[in-house]
Amino acid sequence: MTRYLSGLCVAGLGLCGGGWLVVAAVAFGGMDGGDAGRVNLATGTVLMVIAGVTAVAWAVAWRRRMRADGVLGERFATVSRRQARRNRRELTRDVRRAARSAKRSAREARRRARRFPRLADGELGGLGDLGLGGLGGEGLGSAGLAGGGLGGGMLADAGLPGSGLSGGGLGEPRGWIGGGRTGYAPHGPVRAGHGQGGPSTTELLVELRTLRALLTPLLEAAAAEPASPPLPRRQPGQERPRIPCRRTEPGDEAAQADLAEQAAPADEADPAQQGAQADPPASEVAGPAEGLIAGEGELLRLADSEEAWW
Amino acid sequence: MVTRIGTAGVVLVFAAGLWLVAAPFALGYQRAGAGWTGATRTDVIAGGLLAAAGFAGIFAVIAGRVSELYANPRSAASLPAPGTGRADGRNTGS
Repeated sequence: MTRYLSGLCVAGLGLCGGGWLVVAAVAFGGMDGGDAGRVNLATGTVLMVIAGVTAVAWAVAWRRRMRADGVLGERFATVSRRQARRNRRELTRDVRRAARSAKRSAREARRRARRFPRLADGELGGLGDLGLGGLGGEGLGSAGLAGGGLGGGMLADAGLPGSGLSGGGLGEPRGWIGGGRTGYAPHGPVRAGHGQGGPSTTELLVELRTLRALLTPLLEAAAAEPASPPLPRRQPGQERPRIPCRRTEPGDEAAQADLAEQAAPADEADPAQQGAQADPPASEVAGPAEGLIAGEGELLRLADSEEAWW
Repeated sequence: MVTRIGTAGVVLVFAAGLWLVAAPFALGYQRAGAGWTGATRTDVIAGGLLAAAGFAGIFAVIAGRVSELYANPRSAASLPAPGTGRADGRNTGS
């Protein structure tokens, strides 16, 4: 900016100087007359021309620079009245056409909703056998499927994100199943944010078939797996079974005796089991508590050894 | 191109100032040893002012260009490389 400004200043000074020389030569009669008057007139004129050209050049250069830097906007070409009228007419026509198209789309959407009211309201009874009861209320988003017993990780492994059913695909805030009906995004959250008009029936059926094909083997495998046995229930007032956790020490004879007494009735209550064990090792003869204690000691020995650290 | 014209104009203003200072003595309408006439005084004063302004303007233009090159090295890349004398055309001419 400095050079433009200084260039303009010099040009202005040159104009002033040239003007003064011309005025001095013409208005004051060339002072002393002779060569001086002519020289001043010629110099002043040339100086004014040069200064004028310089000022224009610096002004143009500065404007270009400001336009290149974005300070000045682009210049619009002037449009004739006829052209302006034509442009206005075209714009009006385009707006009307767009409005007509929007109305037609809305009409089709309403007709589709009337034709498939159950799909639009989210009552997907056909998926009940797949265990997706939560489809109606929650949609097919990640949270919705997690509520149905299938975690997001399983869906990711099954490739559902690729098929567009995960993430915000059919999620409830933007989905059409969950009652929102504001848009449809079959291919992930990016399109979901923009909210498309609505799915066609074919798209919906294809998505549901894909979902069924992916989920059926998972649900069958889950059903074939045997249920775990129920945990024993503790009666009110019954003492909680204790886990022996004390270390056996050479001087702690009394504790060992107590543990052996606790284990003895269990051995006596099951004589058949005693017969089956012909020659059990010493730790088993002493009872399960004894064996646990011995195992704990061995574990401690292993943990203390150097090999355990390597 | 426009900037070059502007720079040339500044240089010409400086030259015109020098000419105005030297003209009374060069053309002989100011005799040596005599007192300065009105025309001579006008020419010398106006020429001195213009020469000083032109000199300052030349320096300001050069200094402005150099400071822009320092501030924006990208435009410095559009300058001709030493020895080739050819620019890559990205300079906007400003």
